Amino acid sequence: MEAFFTPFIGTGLALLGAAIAAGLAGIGSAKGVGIVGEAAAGVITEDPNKFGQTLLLQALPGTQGLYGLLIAFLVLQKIGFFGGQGILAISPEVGGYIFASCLPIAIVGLWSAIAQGRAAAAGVSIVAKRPEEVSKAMIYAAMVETYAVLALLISFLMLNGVNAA
Amino acid sequence: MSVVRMRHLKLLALTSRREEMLRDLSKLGILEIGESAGDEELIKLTGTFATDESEVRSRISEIKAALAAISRHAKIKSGLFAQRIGISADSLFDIKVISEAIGAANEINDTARDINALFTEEGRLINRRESLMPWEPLDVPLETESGDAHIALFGMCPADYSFEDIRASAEASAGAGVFLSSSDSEQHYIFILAHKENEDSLLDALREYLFSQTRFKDITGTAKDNIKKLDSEIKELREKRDNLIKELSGKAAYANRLMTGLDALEAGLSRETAMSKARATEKTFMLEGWFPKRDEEKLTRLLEKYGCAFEIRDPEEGENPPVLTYNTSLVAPFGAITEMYSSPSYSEIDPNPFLAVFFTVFFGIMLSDAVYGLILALIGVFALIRLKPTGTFRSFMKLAVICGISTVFWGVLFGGYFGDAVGHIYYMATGKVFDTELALWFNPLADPIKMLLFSLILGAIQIVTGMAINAYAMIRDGRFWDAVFDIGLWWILFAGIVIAILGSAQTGLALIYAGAGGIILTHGRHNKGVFKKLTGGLGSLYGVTSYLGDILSYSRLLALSLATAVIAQVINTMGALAGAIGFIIIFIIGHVFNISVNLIGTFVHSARLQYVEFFGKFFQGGGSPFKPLRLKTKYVDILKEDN
Repeated sequence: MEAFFTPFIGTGLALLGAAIAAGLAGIGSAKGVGIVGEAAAGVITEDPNKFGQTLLLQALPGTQGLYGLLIAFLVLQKIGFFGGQGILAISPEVGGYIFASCLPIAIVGLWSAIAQGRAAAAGVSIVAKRPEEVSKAMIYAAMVETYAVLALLISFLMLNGVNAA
Repeated sequence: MSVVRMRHLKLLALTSRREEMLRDLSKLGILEIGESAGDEELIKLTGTFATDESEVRSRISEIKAALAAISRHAKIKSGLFAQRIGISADSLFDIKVISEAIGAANEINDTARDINALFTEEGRLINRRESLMPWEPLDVPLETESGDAHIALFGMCPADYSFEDIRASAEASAGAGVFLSSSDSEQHYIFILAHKENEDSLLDALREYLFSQTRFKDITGTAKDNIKKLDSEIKELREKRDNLIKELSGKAAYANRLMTGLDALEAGLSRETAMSKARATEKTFMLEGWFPKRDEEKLTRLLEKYGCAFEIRDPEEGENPPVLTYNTSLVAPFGAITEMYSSPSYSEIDPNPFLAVFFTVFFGIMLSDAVYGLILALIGVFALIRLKPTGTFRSFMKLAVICGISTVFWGVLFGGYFGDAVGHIYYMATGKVFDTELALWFNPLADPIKMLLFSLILGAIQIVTGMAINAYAMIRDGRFWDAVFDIGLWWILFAGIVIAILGSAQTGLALIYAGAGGIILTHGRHNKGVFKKLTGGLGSLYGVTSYLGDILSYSRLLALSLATAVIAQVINTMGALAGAIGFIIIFIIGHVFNISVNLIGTFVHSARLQYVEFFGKFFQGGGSPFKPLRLKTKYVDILKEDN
């Protein structure tokens, strides 16, 4: 009986990993993008011409969600989700590895996107008063993203080291 | 490839030829006019020119309003996509150009004001019509009033009460006739007639139903007649307004005149601003400013033509001349990226040539898709040819071309063509798996560790380059030993680390100890006392962690190139699941999305690596960019003259 369920536990863990990578990082980005959008809407009531610049800032905290999606996609690919042969049977150990490899981008993605959203929202007030300095506002927000990039990197390298077959 | 040498000019000229001379100066565009320094006595003896800046500014805003009005009502192209008209420089000084523009602007603004007034009037009439609508079914003239023997009331009761109740109550208490005009979700609109003697009991009864009386001021006749009258009035207004709008769109041809006038006024304004910095007496004035050394001959020729007395000298110690960088046309657009951070200071080495190389390479690696690069380059080429942009926008379009080509290069090396689209399309067309490796060098997705190492090595190269520039500047300024201690010792330490990893542990360690020991001994040399000198050195050695952090920061080259490739892969895979037509739709939307998102990320992160990791090693900035008095136009192009 146990031998029958074991592969499903592994697959389940891997899928759970993909779910939290896309899910948590996505929540973070949604929140971050939302924060910037609120600030940007205030600026637009004064000067609709700043739409382009504020939109650029609003896009910045969106990348964490993409990184989460990226890792989730690689997990799905690794466990044969898209292949013709159906999902591979995965041992609990390998499933656990895959789950662990999803954690960096899931956790850091969630928090960093919100922090980046705040930095970018502050950047929106730069755009309100000195639109020519929009690039500086973008760099401030990009400083936060560094850590999401690092987390993505570690998630990717961990996942890359796992042999699912 | 460097910061242009500047010279200082002080000139004395006749006020009578002031305007003429300023026009010629602005045509040349090589002199930045600064505040005139001078001793107290000079300031006491001289005054400043009176300027009419605010007058000019109000003219400018009038013309801008007129431009906005015709672009709102008449469909003319504006902004980025407009074709700019070309005019000669002299027509920017033509007083007629300005007066024509102001005349046109007044005409347009008057019409626009009339149109707005009509809009307001129409809104008022529509409101009035709305308020009469509930009374339309009632066949009673609205001016009907209470007389000696009867009372007549128009009014409303909340719709919560039933109308039948209200009528029954009013009839029972006062024998009144109650007529319902209409009801909506909130109110009953009713008309009541009763004998005068029953007024009190009627009002008491109505009060229970929260009756509120309505009076129609200045209205005679039934609501229906009034609504009909309003309808025809509104129609008339609209016709009038449409005629005016048509008239205004007929004036779209004035747009060029307005734009020329606007640029002429702006040019006049910049001359006024420059003049406000001069010291003036009744017949003469004095100006000071900076100009590039290479243009000295041109400038002196002009000054002699106007019979000026002048004095030219090199910058003195402690002075801060404005900064102009001179670069080849390939490097020059990167100046826009440096300017975002700060202009280099006058005595500094121009970072643009170095930044140009690193930025281009990093951008290409992070976007790393040959087709994306091609699209970006084509957009840049198209914009440069079709829109003939100027200023920063032009620089950015040139950057798009250069970085696009770099992206094609790296995309070919890493095998990204719309991500892995080739494989999917091949499979959909033939049913066979595509297993040729497209990458000319290697596929970062297949060998990420190799890509990570490559990224970090590029980072190390940039950081060492930054330190080398710093060392060069120190040696140039006669601080040879500073360069040896502050930079050379670090390099010994770095070389030791590299040698220890790659081969000989012994040589490596020896170099590491030598470098670290040297750093501890020398980096605290500006402190007082042996103890402070040593702790200063130790603190500096701890800075090795910041170099480590800097180099690790370049791992984003790998991460962002992965992001482009994998998101492209997600799009292609989703498309492949959706069949041929679905594939095309998902493919187009998805890749447009991926290009735009990754373009932002790539640009921001390429810039960040320059600003934080690279500039941190040597660049101070803080220079003020060279802003000569010149003909800067926003709407028209100045045709080159052949002289």
